[in-house]
Amino acid sequence: MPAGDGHDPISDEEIVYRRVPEHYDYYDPNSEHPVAWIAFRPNQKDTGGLSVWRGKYLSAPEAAAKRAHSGKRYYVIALSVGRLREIGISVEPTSEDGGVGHASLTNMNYHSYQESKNAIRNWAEKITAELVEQVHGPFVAT
Amino acid sequence: MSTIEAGRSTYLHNFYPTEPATGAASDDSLVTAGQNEGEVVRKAWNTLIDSKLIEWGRDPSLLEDDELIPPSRAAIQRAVDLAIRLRDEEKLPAPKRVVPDGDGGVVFERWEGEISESFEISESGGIEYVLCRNGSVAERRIVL
Repeated sequence: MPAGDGHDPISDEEIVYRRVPEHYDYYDPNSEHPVAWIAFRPNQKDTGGLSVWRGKYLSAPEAAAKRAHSGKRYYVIALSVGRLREIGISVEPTSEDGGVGHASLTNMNYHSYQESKNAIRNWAEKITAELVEQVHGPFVAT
Repeated sequence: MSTIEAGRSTYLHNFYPTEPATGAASDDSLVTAGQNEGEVVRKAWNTLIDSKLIEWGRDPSLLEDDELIPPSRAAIQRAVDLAIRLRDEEKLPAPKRVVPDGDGGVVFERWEGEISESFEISESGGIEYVLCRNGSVAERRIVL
């Protein structure tokens, strides 16, 4: 992994990881729609945007372990930064919020969701239907 | 028409064709098929209510997470009430996905082809109905 404080700009070529707990059923490999759009719905805690982790700094298992509960299992959804930006989603480094490698989908935040639920839902639908590069895991948190 | 009825009519419209299916062997076979189908549907709803919603309410630690907010008791109770109503009064198929919304609520979702429909139950127990076509919201309305 590269050295640095994680404040460096995120390039379009980077991959970011969105971590989802297995017990929330947001990923079902046997479903017609394997990734649930709800995995990309901001909640009250997402004031600065949805949390993701930069593949440049963390592996998928390392991203799964972030803020994880011991013994629980987590999937990691890999997304291309360039493709997210193509549909209008901002991806910015926010290591001050979660440490080196933390980033945020800044315009998918709780305030914007309250302002325009439909716009955020449309983005979430688009991400889950078309932009998922890969789903890793599940990984058991230790 | 109440708001919940307004939401229901669209849900019905999309998943139940107005014209009966053709090609059935006899009236009897239709009745039998309908009864069997009804039992299957009821069983699916019961599984959802007993194995998921009631379990969430009984043991909140099942959904503990640092980034996501588990469903509130009000949301779970409303989800159970809605499930019973859709099962018993509307006799609709069970949702294909029922998940916490990560913000204290619960979401029921069904899809068929290019259409998806969801009931979004908030932390406070409010319900919104959302219809999407081809991945875009076509309709959103407050049901309760």
